[in-house]
This record gives sequence, C-alpha cells and structure tokens, in this order.
Amino acid sequence: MSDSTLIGVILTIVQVIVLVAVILPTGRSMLRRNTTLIAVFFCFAMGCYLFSNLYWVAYDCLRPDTRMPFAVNEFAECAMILFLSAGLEKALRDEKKIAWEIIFSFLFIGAHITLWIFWSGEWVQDIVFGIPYIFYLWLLIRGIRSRNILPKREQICIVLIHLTVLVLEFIALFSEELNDATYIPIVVLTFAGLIWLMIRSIKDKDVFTTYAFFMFSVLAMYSFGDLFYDVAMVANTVAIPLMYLSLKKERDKER
Amino acid sequence: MIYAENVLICIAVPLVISLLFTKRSTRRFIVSFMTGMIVCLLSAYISGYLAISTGYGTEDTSIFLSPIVEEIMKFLPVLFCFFVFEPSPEDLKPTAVGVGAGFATFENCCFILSSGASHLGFVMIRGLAVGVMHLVTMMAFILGLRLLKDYKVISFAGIIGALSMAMTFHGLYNLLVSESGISSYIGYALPMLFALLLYLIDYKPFSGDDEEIV
Repeated sequence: MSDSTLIGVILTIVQVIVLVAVILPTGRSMLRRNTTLIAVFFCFAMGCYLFSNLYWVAYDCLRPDTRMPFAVNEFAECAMILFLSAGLEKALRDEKKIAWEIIFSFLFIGAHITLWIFWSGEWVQDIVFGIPYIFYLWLLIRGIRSRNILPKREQICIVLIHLTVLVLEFIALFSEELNDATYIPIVVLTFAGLIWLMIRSIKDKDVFTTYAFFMFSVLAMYSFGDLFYDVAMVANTVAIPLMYLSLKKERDKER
Repeated sequence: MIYAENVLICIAVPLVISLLFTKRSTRRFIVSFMTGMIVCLLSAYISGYLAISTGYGTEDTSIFLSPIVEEIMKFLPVLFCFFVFEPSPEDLKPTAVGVGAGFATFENCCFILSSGASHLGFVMIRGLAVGVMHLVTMMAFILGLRLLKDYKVISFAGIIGALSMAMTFHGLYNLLVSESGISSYIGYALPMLFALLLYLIDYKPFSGDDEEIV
C-alpha cells in the first residue's frame, strides 16, 4: 500500500469515528421520537456516508492502489445528498422560487459534472449521481437568501471565488502549458473559500452555512488528488460535527 | 452446471400446495417466500447479463454489481406491497422477512448443489453469513421505511436512501469475503452482528410513545 493510500485510509477511519460519534446521539433521540425532521434525515444521511466510508476502507485495504470501479458506495453517497436535501427542504421557510437561483445551481453543478466526466470518463454515473447536487445547491441558495445569513457583499464574493475556480479548472483541463500557472490559484481560492465557510459555520452555526461547508468540501475532494484531497477530506470531517451542532441550534430554535 | 429453474420448481411445488391449507399471515409468508426465490432467479439472470455486457468478469460482478441488482430486485416486491396494499408496519415485516428468507434459501440451495455440502463448517458459515445477510438487509430496509412512515416523511429520498444502505451493506459483505484471511472473518461476522443490532433496536420507535414531534 502506497503512502498516499495509507494516509487516505487513516483519514477515512478518523471520519468513520466522527460519523459514529454524531450518529449515536442523533439516532438515539430519533428512536425516542424526540427530534426534528431535519435531524432524522441527517441521521440517515450520515448512516449512508458511514457505510460508504467503510466500503472505501475495505476496498483500499483489500485492493490497494487500484481504481475502484462502479460500486455500491456511489449509491450511498447519492442517497446521502438526497437525505440532506430532504432535511433542508423541511427546514426551509421560503415561498419564493427565483428563476436565476435554479438556473445558477443547474449551470454550476452542470459545469462540475462536466469536469468530473473529463477527469474520470465515467459519464453515466457522474451525470446520474451528480443531479442531486443541483437540488441541494438550490436549497442552500434559497435558505441562505431567505434567512439573511450572509451579507450581500459576501454572497457575491463567494460566488465569484467559485466561478473563478471553475473557469481556471476548465483552462487547466484544455491547455497543458497553463497547468502550473492555474493550479496554484485553484488551490488557493478553493481552500480560501472553504476556510471562510468554516469560520462562518463556527460563528453562525446555521444549518444552511454548515451544510454549504459540507458540500463545498465534498466538491473540493472531487477536484483534487493526493495531498489536497487529504486536506479537503479533513475539512469534510470538520464539517460533520459542525452540521450536528447546527442541528442542535435548529432544534432549540424550533422549541 | 445446475438447472436453477428445475430446483425452483422442485422447492416451490410443495409450497404452492400448502397455500390450499393455510390462511392469512401464514399464506402471506409463504407467498413472500416463493417471491423471494423467484426474485433470486431473476437476479441471477440480470447479473449474468451484466457480467457479459460490462466485461466485469465473474468475481468483479459478484462483488460490485450483484449487490445492486439483488437488493433492487428484493425490494421491488416489498415496495409494491408497501404502496399498493398499504399494510401496517407489523404486516409488512413478515412479507419482507419472507422475501429475504426465500432469496437466501434458494441462493444457498443452488450454491450447495454446485459446490457440494461435504463440509458442515463451510455450510454453516454459508447459512449464518449469506443467509442472515439477506434477512438483515430486508429488516434494515423495513426499519428505515417504518421510521420514515412514523415521522410521516416517506419520500423518494427516503426509499432510495434505505435501499442504498442495504446495497452498501451487501456490497461491503461481498467485498470482505472475496479475499481469504482476516477480512473474510470480519465479513462472515458482520451479518450476525447487524442482526443482533437490529433486533435490539427493532421495536423502540413503535413502543406507543405518542410524544409530539417538533
């Protein structure tokens, strides 16, 4: 097993421990019927993620340094996004459906799906399992707007950061010579966006911010390999307890 | 080579006859059991087709694709029952258990006929691991559905989620037992551990506690 795979396995095991730590209390209150609907969906979503991670660990240990073919964990990750979306839908109190928000979600995730297809060549699963992200992002945008979580200036700033990253990723994909020049800004902007979302998540403890942090850490994981994948995975692991804490705040607010 | 269709007919005929002498829940269980066996045969056809069309090979198909096909096929009759007859959670459980048990029984019969049953230890592992695994995935699915129904949030996301959990569990088992050594021991123990866990948490959400959901 190579060093990078070993580090990946260790980080996944750490994430499994974090997932178990959040699933146990959420599951217990769910079985006692003493919780909110968003927490019920969160518990199921994290259960799916746990199984997916266990599958990864088993695969990496049994077949190290080989690319995983199409397997069941893709369903688990897709179900996780569906569960999280269903939870957000229950928390959303927004009647407005603004056209540009759904168009933006569609184009933004569509561009990501296009990149995934170029990187992996697995176009069927990238399209099928990428579609739930469109709905998820749409709910996040609506939630952040309706709750006034972020000032307008910060909203524009974060959109510009992620659009610049997308454009740079496409440039890096099609022009070999520019690769080194574009890679550093991609890394800097992606992780600056993640750090900003993490700070916001810690400060606000709002479900829509923490769920956004989780989604963008997943997108960052899909965008990088080796070292930066591991860094994005650490961010993803940090996002899980933050989501759990935001759910507790949501419950207190509803009561 | 075995003729799985002939094995199915041989096992199903006495069960069909027994339907004449049984009523209600027993009859429902027998029908579910036979459905499970038929579904197992259909899953084998589909997996065989996928193995050829995708070029995955026999071992990779059984590890990566069969869990998806088998779990979807097992859940279709239960979902049909759930949506069409709208049974109470208590009535749905024997149906799901019947489908799971029928599936596992038929798969074990075919496996034993093709590989032999001379070693009791091996046959016991087969029964306790694979047999229980098919039951556990069905029970987990039913528990998930019942919880979602209890919270009045039955949705597409819920059904896909419960299904994918069962698929991943099945896939994890197949992956672990595909290699000999410690991973296979973990794989063999996994279904029994989960069966125990499901048994422990089974009835808590339906204990009659009518506390308001916030």
